[in-house]
Amino acid sequence: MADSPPTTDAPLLRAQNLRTQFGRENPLVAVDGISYDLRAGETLGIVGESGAGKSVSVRSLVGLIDDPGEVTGSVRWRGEELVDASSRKLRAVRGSGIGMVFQNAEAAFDPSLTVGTQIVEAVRASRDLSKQDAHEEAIDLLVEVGIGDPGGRFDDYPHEYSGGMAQRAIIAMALAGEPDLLIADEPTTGLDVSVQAGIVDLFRDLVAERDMSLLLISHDLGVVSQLCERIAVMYAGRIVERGSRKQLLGSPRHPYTQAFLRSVPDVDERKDLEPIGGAPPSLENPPSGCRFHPRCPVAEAGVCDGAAPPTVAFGDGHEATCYAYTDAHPGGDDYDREAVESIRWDADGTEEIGGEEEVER
Amino acid sequence: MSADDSRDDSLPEPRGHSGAEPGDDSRAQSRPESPLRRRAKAFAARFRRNTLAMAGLLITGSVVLIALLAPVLAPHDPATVNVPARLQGPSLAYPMGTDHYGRDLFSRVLFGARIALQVAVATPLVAGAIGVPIGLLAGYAGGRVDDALMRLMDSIFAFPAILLGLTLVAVFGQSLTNIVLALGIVYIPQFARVTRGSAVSVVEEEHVRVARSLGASHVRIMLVHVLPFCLSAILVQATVTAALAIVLESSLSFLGVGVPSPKPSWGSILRVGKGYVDSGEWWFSVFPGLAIVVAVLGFNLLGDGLRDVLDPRTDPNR
Amino acid sequence: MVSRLQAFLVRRLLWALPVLALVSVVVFGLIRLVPGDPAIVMLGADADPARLAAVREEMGLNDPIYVQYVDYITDAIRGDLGRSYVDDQAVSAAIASRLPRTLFLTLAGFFVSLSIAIPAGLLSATNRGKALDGVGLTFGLLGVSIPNFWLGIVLLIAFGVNLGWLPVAGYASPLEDPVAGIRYLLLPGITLGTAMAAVVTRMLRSELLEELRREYLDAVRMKGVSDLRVLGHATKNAFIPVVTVIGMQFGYLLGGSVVVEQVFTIPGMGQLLIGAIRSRDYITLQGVVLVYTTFFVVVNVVVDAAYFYLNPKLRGDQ
Repeated sequence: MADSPPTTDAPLLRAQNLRTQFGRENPLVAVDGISYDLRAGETLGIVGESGAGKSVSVRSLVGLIDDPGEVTGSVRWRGEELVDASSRKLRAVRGSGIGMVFQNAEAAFDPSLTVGTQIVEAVRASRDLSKQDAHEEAIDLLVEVGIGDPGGRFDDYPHEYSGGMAQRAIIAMALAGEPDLLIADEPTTGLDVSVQAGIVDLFRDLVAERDMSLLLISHDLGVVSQLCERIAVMYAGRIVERGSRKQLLGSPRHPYTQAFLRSVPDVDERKDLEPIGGAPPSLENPPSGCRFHPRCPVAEAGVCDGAAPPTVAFGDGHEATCYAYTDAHPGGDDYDREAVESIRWDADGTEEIGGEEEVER
Repeated sequence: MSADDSRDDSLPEPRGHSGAEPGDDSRAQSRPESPLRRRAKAFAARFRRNTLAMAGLLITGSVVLIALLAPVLAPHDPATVNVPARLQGPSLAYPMGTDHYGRDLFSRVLFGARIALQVAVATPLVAGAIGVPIGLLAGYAGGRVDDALMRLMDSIFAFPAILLGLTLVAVFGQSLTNIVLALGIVYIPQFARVTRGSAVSVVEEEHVRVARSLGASHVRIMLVHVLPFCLSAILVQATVTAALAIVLESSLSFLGVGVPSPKPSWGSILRVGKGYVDSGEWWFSVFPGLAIVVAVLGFNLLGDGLRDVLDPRTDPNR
Repeated sequence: MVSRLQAFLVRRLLWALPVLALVSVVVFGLIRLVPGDPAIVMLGADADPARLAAVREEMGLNDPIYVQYVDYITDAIRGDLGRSYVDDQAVSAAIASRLPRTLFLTLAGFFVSLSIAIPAGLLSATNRGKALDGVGLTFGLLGVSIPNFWLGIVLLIAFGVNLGWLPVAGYASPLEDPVAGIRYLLLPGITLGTAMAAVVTRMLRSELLEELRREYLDAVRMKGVSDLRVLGHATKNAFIPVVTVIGMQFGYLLGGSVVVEQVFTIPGMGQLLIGAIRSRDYITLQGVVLVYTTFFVVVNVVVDAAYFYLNPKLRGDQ
């Protein structure tokens, strides 16, 4: 993947050739050399099927990969290297630089402490506040994420929260350190559609009001397209296409992106869904060349299963890693015309998904 | 205690099992022998690869050999009194020294293995003979029967083994048979609990439902279709119980309410030997105790190893 | 929250009462099971007929058995457990003078075992697969394989006889003379606590390993707190199931104290019990077993309450 064009203002977060593997002898490479930049105030979404390595990739950024796992490459936060950084530096970044919203909110809370206690712990870990002040701050956070009766809810245990409310509370906990970047890992998965819509709105408001950057991981293109200006598509541990929301949804280039778009319902659910044929590849023993080639409708034997495909730039930061746009592929670069036009997607992402906003009691 | 309930039905299928007919589908099996045999094969293969289990087998095997060959191995008669040679330290003639009657401690320890082994084998048999049917019935019947039986077992289990053992021996009177009987009663609840745990999950399996729909009697289902699948868990429990029984028997003998003299129970030797600690005859109590440790360690290793082998969820590297 | 706990405790105690009643019936019945006339069993066949008659009258042997039981329990509740026919002492007085010694010994064992098990379990789990973990695992296996009386004798030989650092026998109340009390309790405490330390180490290790894989720890780490604090969250949750085991082990310590009292010649309840069994002093035996039992039941209630208190899901769902 080519480096991003050099710019004068340094990015908030820069991942370069990030690679995460588990085990030595027969390694499972969950993330295989991905790179991206995220500037202050930017919103980036990473989409892909489950098992593509999205979640591992964001955990790798902040040192949450444990023993059998090994992270290489570079992650720079405000210019400072985080891969193999001291636990002290990581603590500082986790506490007040980067907040993370986890997928399964109830599992992300310590089951034997009240939600309030845990948010207070997060507040006090990053800010020098008295117990009293931290308590008030925690209440304010609960208010900010839209939990009704925050004072009463403060002393409840995680299992006493509903799914949507727990998700809001985990967001409050992630905000406790006043982060500049919020990482959200499948923040709406497993929630009812109406609850999902409320959470999406909450994220949009928070990013705007707090002037945060957002790194959103989801298999749900609808959610990503509503919240993120830039989107990267991940397949089997690699980023296969990236670009603005408009570029990706309006003129997807990579055959996987195209197939992915056809496989998920669009806003009005007016098209027929086409599931992607075949199964996601094993990360222990991935296909050679382009990892999508066994499932790709335009794969060319002797080309796509050979060396890793090149990254082709389409201007304005839109890139795809595919042979189809090179001379090596017999289809040349106009094979995609029809495929692209067959996709209709609300490229502006202005429409809402789902129905009513979540009503908290 | 640990949730071992489903370990029986989750053994990995052996790959490349030679001689398997193509239609030999393990799921819809009407004959219970075949999956059992395959489990047994997988079990043997895993057992050989498990260091703990093999070490345990080696030690317990040696104890069995020593017990069998004691008359051949022992340099002296374990009961022959030789007062002039009393309380001698370890030497070539008396590798573990002599006791207060001049008897050779080494020979007594070798013969003591026979008592330990009798206890280790008989106790699980007694406990299993009562505990397994209780557990089987509770697991098979479920509901109120299950609740009542298990509540009863739990209240027995709530008492420390040694107190229950002491009380029972006090009532039965002292003899090797009575000791084994008492120890057997002490460990009934553990067998009941383990058997119930396995039975509960086996009862849900298809071959049991098939047998039931074919009109097999309850007793037949329990014995033919449920019990065989509980055996691996019962085996682990028997091994663990063997270790516990050796400790408990020697404790009772040490307290003077165990196997009556002159039988050379390790605990009885220690009981006398303890009286010579102050005067410096350390060998009198150190060697018989070491014998207990080795035998118990052997059964514990075997039990831990078997548990790992029979429970595929256990990480072998742990 | 407190009222829920109170309600729980009340229900738990109400459940404990029938257990106690059941046990008292069993103990009472067991002793009546002893073949032959209890008076003759106690005093011997050639005893003075007048004394035999007095014993029968005193024991109420001429009354129907349920009357005997009711009389016994009524007296027991009033603190009268009868009189021993061996030394003509009130059983309750004998128990009262010995109970504190046994309790101090048990507490010493409890304290020793937790001060070994908690660090050992934590270090073993956090250094999984490394040398320290190996030490922890070995301790876990050896600790349950070494009989406590032998460990006690070995400690006696090493620290009492050879090094002369600590007394070899006897007891001093830690309340009256703390230094002497601790010196006397140190070896017995280690002897008693080692097996429980091994059990708790093993369990704490496996529970903590389980807990360390949970997602909430990542969330805690993302707060930017120290590693120690992260471990604190995991440890607290790993402890919830371990508390049950610790509580059960407390009961076993009380049982083990019988043996350890014998090793270190501590005149506690255990010695009273052994003496009663040897001299067929069933009145004393009955009283001692009843008191031990009461303690187990009380400990079980306390353990359940602790488990209830520590586990917010239980508290919430009541």
